[in-house]
Amino acid sequence: MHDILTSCEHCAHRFEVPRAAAGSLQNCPSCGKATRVPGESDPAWVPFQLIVAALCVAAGVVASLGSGPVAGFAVGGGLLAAALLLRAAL
Amino acid sequence: MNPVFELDRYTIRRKLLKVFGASFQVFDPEGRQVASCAQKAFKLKEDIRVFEDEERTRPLLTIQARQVIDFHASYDIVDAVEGVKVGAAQRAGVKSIFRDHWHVLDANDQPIAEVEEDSMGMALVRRVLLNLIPQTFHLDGGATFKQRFNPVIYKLDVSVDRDATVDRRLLFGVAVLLAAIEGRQDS
Ligand SMILES: [Zn+2]
Repeated sequence: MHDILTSCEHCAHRFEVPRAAAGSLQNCPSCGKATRVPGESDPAWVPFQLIVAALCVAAGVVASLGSGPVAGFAVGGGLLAAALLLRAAL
Repeated sequence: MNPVFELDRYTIRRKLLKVFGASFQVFDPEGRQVASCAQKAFKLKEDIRVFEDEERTRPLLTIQARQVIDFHASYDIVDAVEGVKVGAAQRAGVKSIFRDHWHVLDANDQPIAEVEEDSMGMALVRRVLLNLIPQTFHLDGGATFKQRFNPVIYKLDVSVDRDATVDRRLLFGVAVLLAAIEGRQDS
């Protein structure tokens, strides 16, 4: 298990934390303030995000074939925006 | 330290009629409001802010879920005035299925206390009776969290022992978390 190298968001000091601290707040050894340690993103996330984006584009294409390019952009863009909003909420 | 954290007794009350997120008020034994808590809406990972005032201008604590997909739900508790983490609370995943159990960690994530529902028997009865019986939790570092019998409004009475070994700010954060996370299961 390797440690995570992180840097303080207040004073830019770089320090290591154990992997178990991924995604947590830890006090910086230099300035003492709580700073967020990056979370390990799940390896399944990247392909999942690509599939969602591809589905949005596909829905847009289908809608544009049925009701014209404006509807296509509206459907594809709307779904993509919804997915991004959901991602931000998570 | 803020005088709120010197209280030995206080009551956390969930505000009714909040469509999104959740809101809590904290009262001292004389019924004066001493803090107000807001849980952010539309966040799957909990983000709770505790303020000294109802207008939410003077922050006391922030409680944030770890930004990672894990089996334990872990929450870091930060003194919002000093910007320093005072500790964390971690809900024991498997153990909590039958009887709610939390680990309390210090600022370096080392376990310092355990919070547990009163008894296995009562915990099981509660699960069968759909949480009609109020919950009581004990923290072995010197505190009791007792839910009042009130099917409408969630109220949690907190009492801290004079010789409690756990940081009072951390205890306050744990109490708010219990009200927010365990209290939610009732509604
Ligand atoms: Zn720093």
